[in-house]
Amino acid sequence: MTKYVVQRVLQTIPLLIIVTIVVFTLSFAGGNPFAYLAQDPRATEADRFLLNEKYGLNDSIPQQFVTWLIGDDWRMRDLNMDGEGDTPGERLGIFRGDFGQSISFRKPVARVFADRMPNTLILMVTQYVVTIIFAVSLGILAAIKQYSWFDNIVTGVSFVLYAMPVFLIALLLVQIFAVQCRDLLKALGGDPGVCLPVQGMWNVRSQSRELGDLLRHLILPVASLSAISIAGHSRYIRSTMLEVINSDYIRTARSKGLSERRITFLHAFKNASLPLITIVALDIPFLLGGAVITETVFSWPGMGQAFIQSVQPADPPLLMAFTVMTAVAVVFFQLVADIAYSWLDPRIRYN
Amino acid sequence: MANATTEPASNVIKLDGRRDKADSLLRITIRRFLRHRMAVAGLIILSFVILYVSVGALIYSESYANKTSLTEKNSPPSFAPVTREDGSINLPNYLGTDRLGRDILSRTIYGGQISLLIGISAVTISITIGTIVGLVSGYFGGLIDAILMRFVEAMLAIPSLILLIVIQPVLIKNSTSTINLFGRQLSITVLAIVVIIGIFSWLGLSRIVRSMVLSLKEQEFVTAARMVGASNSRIIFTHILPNCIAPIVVTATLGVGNAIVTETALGFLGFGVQEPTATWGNVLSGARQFVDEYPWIWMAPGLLITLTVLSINFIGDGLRDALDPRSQR
Repeated sequence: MTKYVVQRVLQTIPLLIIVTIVVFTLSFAGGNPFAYLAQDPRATEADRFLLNEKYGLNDSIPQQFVTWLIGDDWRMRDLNMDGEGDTPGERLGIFRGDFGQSISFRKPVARVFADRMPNTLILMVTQYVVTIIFAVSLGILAAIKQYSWFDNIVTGVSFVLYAMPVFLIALLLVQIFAVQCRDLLKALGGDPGVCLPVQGMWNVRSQSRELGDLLRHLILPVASLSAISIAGHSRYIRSTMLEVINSDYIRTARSKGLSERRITFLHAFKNASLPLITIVALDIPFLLGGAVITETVFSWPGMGQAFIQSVQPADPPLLMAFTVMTAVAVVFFQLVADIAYSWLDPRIRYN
Repeated sequence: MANATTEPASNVIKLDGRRDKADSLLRITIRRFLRHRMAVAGLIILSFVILYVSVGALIYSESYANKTSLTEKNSPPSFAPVTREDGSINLPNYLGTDRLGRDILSRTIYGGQISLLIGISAVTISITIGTIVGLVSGYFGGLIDAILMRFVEAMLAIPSLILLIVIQPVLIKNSTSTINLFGRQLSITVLAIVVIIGIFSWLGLSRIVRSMVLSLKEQEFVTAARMVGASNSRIIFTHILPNCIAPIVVTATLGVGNAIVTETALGFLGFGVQEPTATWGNVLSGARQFVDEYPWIWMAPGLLITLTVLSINFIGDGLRDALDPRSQR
């Protein structure tokens, strides 16, 4: 087991090196983030030089990569434009926890993430808990009642949801639970305030931040995100459950005279949940990055929204930090999934 | 080989030495595919979508689809003929208009052509790259394999939508230039979107092909081919590739649906094909600013996208079952 773990950990090192190089190249492919200043008559050549120098953009690409990794406080920067270094650099590099200065938010990238990560986690963790609860129960029910009308409906609905882009589900839910509801209540003379809000995390008019208000704002984004995940995951759980239900030891358990409930939950689900652990581990990194599209639709002030805002005009430090964070999380949780799985299911280790 | 394991009884070699033509892999596949009810339903739905975007183009011209009208901004669907500010009388806006007063119905027709084109061309690129990388990596092994597969793993670690959004400014810089394609003036960004979706969606396929090649190259028919002196490229392309065709076809089919969804997602976020060239994605982008207003802007393209992707998924499932030699349905 130890040998397997060490081997697996060592494999991730070249992977992380390639990921960082790819991400760095991509973030800079968008060109100079201050290119738009070239058209601005108020910005002089010297201003542009200083701005680029401040963000380290006058350096060669490999030099910038080194700065990004380990910082530049060990060498001099040229801020008075005499061609020689005079001021020590201020960057510490990602290995010392410095992700640089975000250009579009005008504060450190780490600060932007610290502000937004909690919002994203509120949305994504809620969404994921809802997904798992519904996917597991629907998947098990569909499997034990295979080809029943219930199974057919779950299958049909999942197929349709799975074919829909996430923003379409979001727009549809907004239309039904906010717009139509509002119009209906207005026509009936009721209070349209009971309909679901579609923008942001809190009611902007009220100063106090109540849990109830947050929950109301959560319903639509959570529903649109979970709908697709439930469709995909319940199909997966159904098929692993079916595989287990048709195996020999379930027939043995049944012939021993155990109750159907005991067989389903104790014998079948326990084994069917093994692959589920892998799925959960592989999903976790994607919760951190937030939901780029859903956060945009619902103006949710999270990581995904910050990412979209940093694309145009380009904000390479934020783009790089965001992408590298997601990629490292993916690699890390793949490792966790592999190790957990080989620990739970010893058959894997010997293959 | 795939066709030898299916329905062996009908695969008898006749006395005159010719195999019964009726049982080629293609025919078996078609027969099994047509028995798959959902796949046939998918084929019918997809035909209707294709009919919609092609016959529709005979009724509406592209210049009509791109024609803006200040008096008709965001107007709901109606059956009343429209009088434009220049005095011309136009067909009613059956599906409403967008924020620039353009007719949504005609935009979904021309947008559909482009979205389907993007889906198919992007998949052509990704299937080509994925197959070649998989074949080379699996067949030659060693250092090439290690480098290619580490690269694939690294790329797979970055969520694909994020990758595409980060890379798109590179190719969409000169968004005003146009190209001439099939007699239509299209924004150059159509090409850019095809390329970026194509070059970033071959990763999964290359791993599938590689694992198939790894087992195929150990089999006797490959050893036999090598013994009679066949070159590496001959072994790869005439002996190994035909045996990998099933997963490639299935991945390609499902890939078209994925590429269309990706295009619409990019378009919705405003990073897709630039207007005036319509795609389902950028017609939908009008809904981004007005989430709770003007539902007709997203309803028609949304329905078309869902129907298209749904039917493609059904067809993909049907093909998977039809091409799987183990399933004896």
